[in-house]
Amino acid sequence: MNDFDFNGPSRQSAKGILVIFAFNAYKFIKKSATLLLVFAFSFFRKGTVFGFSTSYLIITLAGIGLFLLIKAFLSYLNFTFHILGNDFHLSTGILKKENITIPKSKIQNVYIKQNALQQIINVVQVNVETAGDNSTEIEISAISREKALALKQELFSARQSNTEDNQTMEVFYKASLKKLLLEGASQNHIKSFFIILAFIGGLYTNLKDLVERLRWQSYFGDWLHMNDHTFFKAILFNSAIIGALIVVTFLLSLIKTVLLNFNLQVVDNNKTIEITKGLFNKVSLSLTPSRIQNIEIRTNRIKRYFGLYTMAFKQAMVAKKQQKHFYIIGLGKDEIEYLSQRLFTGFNNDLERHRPENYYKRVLLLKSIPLFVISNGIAYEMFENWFWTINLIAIPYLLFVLHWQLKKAFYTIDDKYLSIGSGGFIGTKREMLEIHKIQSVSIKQSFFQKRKNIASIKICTASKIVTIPYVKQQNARAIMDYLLYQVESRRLDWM
Amino acid sequence: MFRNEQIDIDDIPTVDSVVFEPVSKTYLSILIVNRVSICIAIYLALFSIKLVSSNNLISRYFWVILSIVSAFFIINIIIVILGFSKRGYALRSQDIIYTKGLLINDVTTVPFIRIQHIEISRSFIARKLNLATLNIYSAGDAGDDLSIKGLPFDVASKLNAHITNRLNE
Repeated sequence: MNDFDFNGPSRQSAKGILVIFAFNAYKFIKKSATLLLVFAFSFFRKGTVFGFSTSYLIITLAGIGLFLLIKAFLSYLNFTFHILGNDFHLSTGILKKENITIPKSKIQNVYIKQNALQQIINVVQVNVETAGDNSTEIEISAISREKALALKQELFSARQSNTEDNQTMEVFYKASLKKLLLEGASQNHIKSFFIILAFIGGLYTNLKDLVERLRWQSYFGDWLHMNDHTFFKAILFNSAIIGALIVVTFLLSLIKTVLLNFNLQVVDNNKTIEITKGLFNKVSLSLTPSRIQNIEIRTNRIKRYFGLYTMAFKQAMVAKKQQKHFYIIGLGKDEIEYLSQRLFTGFNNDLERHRPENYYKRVLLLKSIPLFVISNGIAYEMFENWFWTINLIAIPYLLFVLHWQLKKAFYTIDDKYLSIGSGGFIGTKREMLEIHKIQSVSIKQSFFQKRKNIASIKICTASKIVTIPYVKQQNARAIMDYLLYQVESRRLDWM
Repeated sequence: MFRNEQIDIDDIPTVDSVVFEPVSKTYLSILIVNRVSICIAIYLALFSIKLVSSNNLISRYFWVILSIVSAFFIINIIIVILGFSKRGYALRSQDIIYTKGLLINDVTTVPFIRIQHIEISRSFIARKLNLATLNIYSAGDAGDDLSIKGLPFDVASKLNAHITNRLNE
């Protein structure tokens, strides 16, 4: 079925020039973003940039564009790859030539991706990942889908089993649009709201300046100058802005969730679990049970009401950029149960839940002091002498959150798995890991904890550090001994 | 042959009973020299700012800043000296344990079967004082790698040889 010959050097699709150009232009803009902003600002203020007129600017921009285009063309000409025997060869570089050789057996993953531009011109991007360094990742940014699939097959041809497995694929889970919308709507918007609020707040001070300059006062001036306003009007204005922000935040997380997870599909192979998702940026990931180091199950109050859970995975030997896509949203309770058992065979959900010591309460109380001070500070700015009334809300709220943080904190251990639960009033999280994949264990104890015989345990796997917070010192030691015993006596591979 | 007997929790070897080997006493001098040189650098910077101009924030509150820096420095040195006795390592048949820290004490254990590689590094002063640092790397980005500082060079070499041996088994 292989119509493509990879024995001789082969280039990317000619459309690749466009993709490379777009990538380079994007990189250029991203790198010089602050500089460009400064220029744009100076342009709006004075109509010139450092005394250069508009025509000069256009010529400069055209020059940069032409340079990038020529560079893209040369990169395209100098980018060839072929397969010789059991090795994949790639040569790149315009001035600095680079020849990369990878043995087929060392290739861990071949991803086929497609971003918006690549979808429009109908090409795909192929990423070849090897074990080890993140920098050894190879990216072929534009070839036709057929060629990409042929290449993938050719690269995996050394491993016959891999292609056979593909025949027993079954779609295990598919997220409907309704589920995605529900997921997006039930996101914790509070955090993103404050980020946007801070962003707008920063812009506002700059905007005010610009508004004055552009003489829009005659239209909006009354609205923007709050000093001249009555208290009531100011409140009205602020609540209108905050109301608009809430709507914007809500829509943004909704759109983001749907775009990132569009057409989310989970396929269960015999050996791996394949995830595909994304509208503009299609990604396909494969989960290999032996390489999974940590699993996290997340939900929040609203999501739980709708029966929605998110499962996130930390897998060893995955490039940083890919790592953040390793999650599945919109799973139901049964699917979570199935996946947990599929990946962590024999994981017991009904073990006795051990709780942190009371010392944890004190730590949480101390941690909420800054929040308490900040809320009082803001209240003083707003209500002056009546500032203390904020505490009628703030103190019960902080205690309420604290109560739930305490209630949701627990850990369970059996001879194979360790799991740690945490969360606040809204969110709930459960982290799970296989004990035999632990890399190292430490006990941390501060001066104050020592006097109370309290300690925390830090457990490292290859991808993440998890903490069992504030248990009795002798328990901490016993847990450390037990975990080490399990790792050292079983002598199982961590990957 | 697969076996799966029940384990008596009391039979598990415990970290509690190990005796930690202290690191070399000369290492304390390196720690102190490091801090003194940082402090001198800050003093020099402060004085030169004061000399160059007298009309800035630093020059106006010069003595306040100087005493804060000095107090911080003295406390830091005291903590380093008091905490020095907390530094120690222990070699067991299956793993290596390292402990340090006065205010926040940390006991870390890395099993030999999880060690990826191991190396000895020596700074300029360490070479003069015949000291060495043993770095032990486990897998992954998140792995918090052990680095046992202030070992006598021959001890570091011995540990290195022993652990390398264990890794190749």
